[in-house]
Amino acid sequence: MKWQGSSPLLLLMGAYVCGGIGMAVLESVGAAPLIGTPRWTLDAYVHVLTAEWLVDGMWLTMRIALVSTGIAVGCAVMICMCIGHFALTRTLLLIPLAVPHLVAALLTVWIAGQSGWGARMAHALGIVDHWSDVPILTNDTFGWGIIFAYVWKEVPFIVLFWLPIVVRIREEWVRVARVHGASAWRAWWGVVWPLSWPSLAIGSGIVCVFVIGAIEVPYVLGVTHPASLSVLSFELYRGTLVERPQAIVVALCQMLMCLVVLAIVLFCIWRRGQRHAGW
Amino acid sequence: MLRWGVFGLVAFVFVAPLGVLVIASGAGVWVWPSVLPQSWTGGAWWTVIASDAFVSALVASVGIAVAVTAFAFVLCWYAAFGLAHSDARGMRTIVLAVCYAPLVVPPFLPLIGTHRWLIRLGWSDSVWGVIAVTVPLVVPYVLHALLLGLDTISAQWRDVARMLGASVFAQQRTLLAMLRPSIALGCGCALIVSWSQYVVPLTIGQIVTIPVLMMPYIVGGDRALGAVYALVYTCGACALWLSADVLIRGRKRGSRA
Repeated sequence: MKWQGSSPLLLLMGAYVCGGIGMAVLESVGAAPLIGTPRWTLDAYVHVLTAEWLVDGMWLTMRIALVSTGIAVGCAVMICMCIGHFALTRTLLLIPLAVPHLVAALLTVWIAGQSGWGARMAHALGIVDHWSDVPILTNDTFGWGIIFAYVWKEVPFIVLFWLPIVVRIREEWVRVARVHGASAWRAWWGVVWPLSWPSLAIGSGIVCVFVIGAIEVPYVLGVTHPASLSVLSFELYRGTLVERPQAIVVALCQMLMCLVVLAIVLFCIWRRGQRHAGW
Repeated sequence: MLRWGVFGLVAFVFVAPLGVLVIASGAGVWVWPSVLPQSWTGGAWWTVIASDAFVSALVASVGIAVAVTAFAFVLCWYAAFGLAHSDARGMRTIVLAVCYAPLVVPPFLPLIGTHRWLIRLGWSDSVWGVIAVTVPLVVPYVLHALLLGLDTISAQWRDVARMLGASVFAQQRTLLAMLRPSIALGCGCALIVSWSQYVVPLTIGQIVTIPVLMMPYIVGGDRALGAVYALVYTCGACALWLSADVLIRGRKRGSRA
């Protein structure tokens, strides 16, 4: 069977991705209004791209995406270094993977909130006297609550994405390095890391792009201003018909950020991954 | 020793927090600074279970998840089979790029455009509209799982089966048996992704699913009801995953046909 077997799927996905984005762009320039006659205009672009809230939203979105991905990758690397073939920990990490992001956001509120379970434990241990002594970690302007929720959800994903590659390398190559006198640390950074980081970069890229585009967690754990781009777009879309083109422009900015992240990841893999191709 | 230490840390950080949900779902009075509730009640559970809205939301969530998975599987089955044995590398790359695009494109942008098409088709505010928009979101997972499975199977098996007189139906049935682990993985992912959707049923269909029903309790701060819905939501995701694994993969885990 040739590739033509994928025609129905290609048609559906093409209609969704290209047709969906195309129709949204047409609506944003006034060529396909929901009601009334078409009138080409760039008003929505001018309004959104000159707004201060867009810059704040982009900065917040990028900050949340980069910080949460960075922390998640760091934690995942440490876990992978420690557990190796230990199947019990891998099985345990499947549990948070099945927990929906909305529930992760709810848990963050209840555990890291000012009167949450973490604060109650701190009070029981004598660390704080009153809930107002607890730092604000949810619904804060920096986005720590959102970052916590994403780290909790994405560490298991990155571990389970990267660990099979790491384990495979450990079996085949690390023993050779150890025979030649390398320490465990040296064998890890000299052998495992150079060979496995491309797959870690792909996993990190997927996580980063997902964080930029996801709505539920910032919707629950964010603040009104600054709001992440996904929440801004969602709120504008659910507002009046006049605001819908603006929602599309915000969503286009989101897509641009995702494409930049993707391009960086692919460029890094292409530039350095070639040296280790074929292992 | 280090491994057991990491195991304990992972259990504490990634699994123990779920215990807060269980505690909160049965909490009556729970004021600051008590670590545990002062009184316990099953009122929130009874409120949710006796609610007609909950039953209809559960039926809608499960129905949409199953329908989305079924449609995605049928579409991806023929596509994966064609792509795995295709010599046209360029076309394969294009098809895969389009099919994996939902992983890298923020879902809200194509959703807005697709909503317009659905309004014109008369599918807006309907279950079919929600299914039509959710299928592309799960396609990357199903397709990738099937391609992973097909990569382990030689392209010559079909020639051998045909030479031995197997009908087209028999060939497909054999392939299905060989790909059971991949199908279970892809369908499990598809069920969880479609079960977890909040924006699509709300925006496209105005359909009340479990996350849509749950959101006001989370934002509004009704702790006990929010916890019950969160537990149902989480357990539902796990149950769907396990059902796919047991029903599709069968009882002999890890077996290869």
